[in-house]
Amino acid sequence: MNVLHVIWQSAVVVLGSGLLGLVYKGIDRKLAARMQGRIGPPLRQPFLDVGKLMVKENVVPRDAVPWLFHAAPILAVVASVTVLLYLPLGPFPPVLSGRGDLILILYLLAMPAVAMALGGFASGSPFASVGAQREIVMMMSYEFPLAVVVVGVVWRLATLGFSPAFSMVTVGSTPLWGLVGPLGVLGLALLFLCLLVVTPAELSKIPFDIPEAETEIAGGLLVEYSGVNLALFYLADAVKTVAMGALVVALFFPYGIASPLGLSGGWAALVDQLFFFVKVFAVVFVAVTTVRVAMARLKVDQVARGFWIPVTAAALAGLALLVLDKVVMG
Amino acid sequence: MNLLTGEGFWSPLVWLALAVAVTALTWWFRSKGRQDYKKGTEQATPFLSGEPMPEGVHVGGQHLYWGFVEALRPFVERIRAFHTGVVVDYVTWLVVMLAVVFLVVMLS
Repeated sequence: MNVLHVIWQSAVVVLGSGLLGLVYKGIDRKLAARMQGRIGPPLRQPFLDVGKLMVKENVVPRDAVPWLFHAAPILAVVASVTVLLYLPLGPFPPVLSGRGDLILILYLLAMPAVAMALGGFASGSPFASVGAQREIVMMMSYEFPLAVVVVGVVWRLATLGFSPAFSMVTVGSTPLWGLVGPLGVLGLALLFLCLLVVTPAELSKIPFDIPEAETEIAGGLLVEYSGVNLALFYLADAVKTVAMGALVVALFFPYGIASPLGLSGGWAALVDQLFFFVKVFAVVFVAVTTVRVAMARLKVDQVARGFWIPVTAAALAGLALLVLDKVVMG
Repeated sequence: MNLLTGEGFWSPLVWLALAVAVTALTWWFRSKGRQDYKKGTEQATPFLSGEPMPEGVHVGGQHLYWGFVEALRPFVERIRAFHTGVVVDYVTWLVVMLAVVFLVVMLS
């Protein structure tokens, strides 16, 4: 591993993911507004939001634990950004290829939510504590189906002889759809649907925005955050959106269009990179934008029951179908 | 430097090095924002929709898993029934579960 390459590639990913996340946020807000018959904010609104938060007062509540209150947003940004270094972004392998696998990605994806819960508890506010408790319950609910989806895909890859199966290079360069039989395709489709349901929960978006629930608990775990600390949580959310989209793409749609178009060299990389951005945005649009426009917020017990019973059952059914596919197809 | 898990791997030191670098960058970004506020004023009072908040009142930890318990009440009640508070019962469960794990490992 060339250290200089890692440094400049990491810098590109860190800066690029922040910009891309904010651009996606802008498009998401514009499209959501259009679907609701509103004009919506300009596309650059998320950038303006961050800029404005930077010049706002950074209030620390009276009963807060100051060091933890300030550390939580930083931890959220660090976890969100570093997870991208392990994910394939377009035609390029992960920056830290060979230095971390899919299990590490799952843990890093959970960290921003843990950081938000810590920040909520450290706020010393009743609304923030309720929001933090909801965040933890929600994490306990969606992590298991998410793990089943990942294990399903990886296990089938391993049975087909790909190794190391948990490597993102293996996962991101091996579309499973064409390698399995009809039962396997059905199983993969079920796992994909489960991941689409988990995505808005992982990002705390409607109908799973119960930890924040502005109209109910006034922003929940973020209620006491303001200024630059809130800007950091905002950025962490933007980057995590890109990471989640990239994970879905890597697991289920690691396809490029350069080869079918007969392109090669630099043009092929450019076209595949742009296609990757489109795929990530398509995932965000389907799993977040349309869902949050069409649905209302669920209650926390509905979320827990929903993820633990129907979504987990669907994920396990998908896994079972992949096992059957292995038995039938070999 | 890589920890291997059969089909997986990760390098904690590489992650730690990059996490430190990203923390430094985030810290720099954070330092560019405004840091002050009016300490000791109403501004620092926790928001409670305008209701007065008595000193030292917090949401109790006993409600931490409310949503989970409410959603899966039949399961939770069944599990709770096993928690008799008698040490002998817990040790018995431990021995039984160890035997089950041992059998599964032996048979596989």
